[in-house]
Amino acid sequence: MAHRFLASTPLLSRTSLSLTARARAAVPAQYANYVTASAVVMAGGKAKKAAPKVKAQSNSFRKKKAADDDKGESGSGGATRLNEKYYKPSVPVKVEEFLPSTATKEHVGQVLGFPSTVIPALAQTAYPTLLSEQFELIKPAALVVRESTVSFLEKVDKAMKTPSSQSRIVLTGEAGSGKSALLLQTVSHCLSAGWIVIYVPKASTWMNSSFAYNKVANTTSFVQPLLASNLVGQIQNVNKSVLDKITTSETAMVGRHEVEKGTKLSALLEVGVKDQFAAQDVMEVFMKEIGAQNGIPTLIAVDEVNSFFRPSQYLSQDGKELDPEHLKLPKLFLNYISGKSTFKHGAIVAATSDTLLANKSEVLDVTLGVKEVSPYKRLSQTILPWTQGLTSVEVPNYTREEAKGVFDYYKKANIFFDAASEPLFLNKFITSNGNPRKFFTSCAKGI
Amino acid sequence: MLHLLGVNLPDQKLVQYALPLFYGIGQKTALKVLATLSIHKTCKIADLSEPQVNQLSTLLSDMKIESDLRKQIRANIMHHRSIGSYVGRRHAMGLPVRGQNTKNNAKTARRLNGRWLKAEKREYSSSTRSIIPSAESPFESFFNRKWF
Repeated sequence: MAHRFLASTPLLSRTSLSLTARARAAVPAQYANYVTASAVVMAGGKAKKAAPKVKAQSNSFRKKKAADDDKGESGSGGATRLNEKYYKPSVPVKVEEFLPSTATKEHVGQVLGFPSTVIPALAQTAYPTLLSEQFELIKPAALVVRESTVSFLEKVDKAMKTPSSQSRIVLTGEAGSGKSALLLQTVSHCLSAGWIVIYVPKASTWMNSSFAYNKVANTTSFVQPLLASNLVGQIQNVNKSVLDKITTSETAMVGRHEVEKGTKLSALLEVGVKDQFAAQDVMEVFMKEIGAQNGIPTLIAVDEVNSFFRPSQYLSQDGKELDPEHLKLPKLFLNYISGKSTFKHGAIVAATSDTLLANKSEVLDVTLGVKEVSPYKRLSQTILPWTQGLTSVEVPNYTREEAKGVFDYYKKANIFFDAASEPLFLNKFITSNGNPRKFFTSCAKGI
Repeated sequence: MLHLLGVNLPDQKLVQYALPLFYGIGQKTALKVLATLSIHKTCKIADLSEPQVNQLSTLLSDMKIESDLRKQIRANIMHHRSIGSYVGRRHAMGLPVRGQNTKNNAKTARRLNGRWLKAEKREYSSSTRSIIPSAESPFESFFNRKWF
């Protein structure tokens, strides 16, 4: 039965035409004059190819050509530019805003964009890597409202009046199932609702030895001054309006500066931005202050949290890998994630990531029940205590309704090379098993 | 370009991969140096602060690298030569030292062994030859000639 559908759709013609030819054929007439950067490069490249190439044999490995003639057509220059050979340039789609009022059961299956008040805040911190590819292709950035979104946001709303130690949730699920997306939706929801939000999109960059670190005298701990300063700046920019309402409850010493009682928290954070060596102290005072007040709830949202539960790539002075508890900034967050410190009102939501093998944490997987390991295998006894008391929420693949909503959105954005129809939707949905990431790559790249 | 202890370290190179440019420092020792000085793995030479450069130079001058190491290696091999051992003779002849087969496959030894002794001879090649007694006995220098 299925093969009759395949015969009738243009899917069979895939092998006869090249990808670029199909892309050119599929562009509608009104976009015929659409000039892409790669088209210009291709025109230049063809002119160069007409002249016979006489290349001297160069033995130097160090010589790098600034513009590679052979690969002139592949337009992808930097990380943000999408390769126009593989992606069809999309049309901007008009979407409603994702607000607390629209995140309800009636809107399940609808694709809603981030509110205009939230977008500048989200621009402070980068989007998670693979999601940012999708947002690059189809503008404006938007995510589908799922059943799991609705139920999860209800949970988060209940946590608004309870201490954060009672709501420490980790989102788990298979690769590409929508954990980071759900976390983004939670962040957006809490920002719209007026919470203080501390969003860390890539916790792995804290642990992979990419920031400078210094030993604190007479202790086994290390400080990452530049990282702390960056984080303080991000928090300040994301929560500008909210932080003016809270003031410090006592005088504090941060680095070489003294912060008097009654200073606004935004002024406190400014100290950390200007002096990176005071930033760690600023973070600690800041977290204590927002935890002590019960007017405004706080959300800590950490993506790639599995990198907090395994040895980092930093080295101690003995040459051994440092545990996260020896790095002051990750330890500060681990205190809240494990419940050792708590906010009076708030929640901690984290998402695991399967992106890099170097970030995998067996201890976390075993404690959350995601993975089973032999009882004879010895798990790290230094990291195990930090994983106690975490609740795991599994993020499933798309249901048919949600996938249909996403498919309609992609159809409006005009990213399909083949004609978008019900059989095509069935094809994509079944072959990707409803996995959101695989569904997107299958729709956008046709693979 | 940071000039440290006789070696030029390019600014855009990661410290982890610039340190092995010193003779006597390899990948493992470079990581140990980074760990001791608390330098992160993605730090470039240009990112090092003045106190860090001073600490690095102090640490490196305490290690046996560059000319000190070369002298030690040369001294070890010269010792074998001066006591007239088998090892010394093989170094002088440019053949494998550790009992390898020479029927076939002694290419690396033929290419590399004996360069420490040649350097020694080159150093003492001018007027000082007659003053410093030769380590070889008269018959040894006849038997050790490679071709006649």
